[in-house]
Amino acid sequence: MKILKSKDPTEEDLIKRAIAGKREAQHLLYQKYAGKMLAVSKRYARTDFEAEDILQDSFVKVFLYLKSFKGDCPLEFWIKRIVINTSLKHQRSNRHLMVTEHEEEWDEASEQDGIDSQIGYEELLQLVRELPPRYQAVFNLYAIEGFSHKEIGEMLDITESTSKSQYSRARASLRQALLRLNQQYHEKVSG
Amino acid sequence: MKKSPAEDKKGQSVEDIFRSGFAGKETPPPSRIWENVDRELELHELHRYKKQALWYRSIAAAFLLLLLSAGVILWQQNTGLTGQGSSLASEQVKAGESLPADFKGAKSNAGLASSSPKNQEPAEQREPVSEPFSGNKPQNEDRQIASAARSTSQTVYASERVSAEARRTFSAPASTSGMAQQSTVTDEAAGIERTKKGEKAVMSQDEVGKPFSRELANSYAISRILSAKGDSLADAPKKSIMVQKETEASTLAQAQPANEPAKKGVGQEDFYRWSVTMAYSPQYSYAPVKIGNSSPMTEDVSLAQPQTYQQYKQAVEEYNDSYKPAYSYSASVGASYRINEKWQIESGVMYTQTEATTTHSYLIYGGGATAANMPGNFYSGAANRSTPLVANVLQTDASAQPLYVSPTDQYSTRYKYQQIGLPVRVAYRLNMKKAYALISGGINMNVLVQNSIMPETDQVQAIRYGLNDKDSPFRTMQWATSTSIGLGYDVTRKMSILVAPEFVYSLSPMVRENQQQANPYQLGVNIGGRWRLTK
Repeated sequence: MKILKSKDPTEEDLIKRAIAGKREAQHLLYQKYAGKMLAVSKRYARTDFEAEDILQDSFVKVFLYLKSFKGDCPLEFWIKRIVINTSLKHQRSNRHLMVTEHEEEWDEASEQDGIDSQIGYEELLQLVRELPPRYQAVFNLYAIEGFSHKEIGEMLDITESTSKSQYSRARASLRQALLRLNQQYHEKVSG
Repeated sequence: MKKSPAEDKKGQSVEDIFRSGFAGKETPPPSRIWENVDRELELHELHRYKKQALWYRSIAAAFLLLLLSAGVILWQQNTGLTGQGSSLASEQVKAGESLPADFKGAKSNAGLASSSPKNQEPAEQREPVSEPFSGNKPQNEDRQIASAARSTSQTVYASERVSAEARRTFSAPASTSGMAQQSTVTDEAAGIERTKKGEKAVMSQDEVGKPFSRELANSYAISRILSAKGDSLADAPKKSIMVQKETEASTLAQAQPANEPAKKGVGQEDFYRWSVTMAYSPQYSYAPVKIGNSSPMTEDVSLAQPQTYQQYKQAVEEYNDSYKPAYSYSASVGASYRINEKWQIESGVMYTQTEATTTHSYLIYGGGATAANMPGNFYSGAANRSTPLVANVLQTDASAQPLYVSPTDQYSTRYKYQQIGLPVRVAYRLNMKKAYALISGGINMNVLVQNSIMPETDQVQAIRYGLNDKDSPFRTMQWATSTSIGLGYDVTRKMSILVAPEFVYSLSPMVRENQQQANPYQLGVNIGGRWRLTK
């Protein structure tokens, strides 16, 4: 048996070897996707430590269940879905911060905010983390990942209208925060 | 994934800001996350190995238990049948006599033995000139006259004369109470006859003809039991021909079972109890010694020398993946003792040689070996040779030594384990004319007498561990279960051959340190012969 020494093994080869339990192939897959997935988990976590825990648990699951990956979507999507599910599970088990579910109308007309944002990644991340956990999850799932409210409702075990309501509140909160930061930025620049 | 409704809108919406801010963002994870993932995966693998081992052990234990239970049940049944057959045979001998007509009639309704026409037929043939029976006349009176000219096989019936007398005496209760009671009565009567020889020496025909009391019979029966020498012929006084003939008849009656094995104790007497067995078994032996990535050595190295750590991990992975069993075999010499016709116990001495190979692309220096073996060390007496990876890692002081890993051309390493064992097996034999099936199961106690690790390159030194070598990472004593099902053929009356696929599962791993080691197992085919010695 030869050690895997080729420079660019295909992802398919890596997957096969990782399924067979080859640690080297698993490590290569980890190196390929861990950075992106840590960025994802950070959006759902409250702290960097929690995000790292989520990443660790996610990749253990990835390698334990890799044989169930059928290849009908890119591996990155499959891993990302595991990271999101693990994040939501962490949220459920570690926190019991269930916000009151006010079902209110979701105003789609307020989507266009006209904010001239100069805010960086870390600040945006901080804003999302400051949201209540459920709002944080709903905002990430809808605005960033692109899930529908129906899908989000199924994932979080809430109704579609609750998802819309929570998203609306999260959005309003973030909008205010963005406007405030934007204003501070302009004051800083002009001043 | 779906696009958010916000994506279609112009301008900088909240969604736009966050989506563009997070797009394509990557955060390099700290190295400890992968180490944790690695450790978690190893724990899962270890858990899986343990579950598998537990499953195999459970199967082996269940099989052995089943085999033993079945053995006990069948053994008990065989013993019961043999005893029953023996009593029935003796009953048939007695019942084979021509009995008084009234007794015959009564006995035909009584039980199993008396209902056999085969046993009644000779009696009629033997008494062609006998007079009709009368209730007052014992049957043996006529036979005593005729028996002088008959063969010895006929004289056996003399003992039945007294039985018949007793039956006649007790005919009323005995004939209606069934086989068991009848058998007891006849036995007692025979005992009376034998006892009488010592006590009264002579009994006249009149006395014989007389009914005697139950109390008397009981006293005779007791005296028969107490005097074990009651059968001795030397004591029989020769005061009349009749008594002498009775004595002879009694003796022959006792000797008859040996002449007629078909009727009595066939299963116990018609086979050789002791056999010598020899067997050779080519085997597929799976006995890997896995090296975990979580060895203490790797942690130290990973912190100090990342490149060395990577090479070391590749060396370990290559070693683990390239394990390949080579030709292995076992040879045994032993003895077999047949408990009965179907069950036997086997034991002996067994030599097992297990071989395997691995391939390597790295040389490992240091670790469990001494620093003197590192390249460039001019004081090295080992000519800069590295040590085999498995020996290096499994050394107890491996983590205390520096490590050096060097890539090289691929080479193989051969592992040889030589064991001497004591197998103890219980076997069940199913006879099919000259062929037979043999199902056996048992325990092997093996002692690892020598273990060699022989790299096929000059760059790595060979290592050999002897018996009770303190440096050896391998277990000296190992226990294993063995199960086999085979077919045999009796070539001659004293010799048979046997071919039996065998599965041997070790109850413990090869190495002392139990780090996620799978228990070895062997699949083999026993090819052997048996030579019967004595009955």
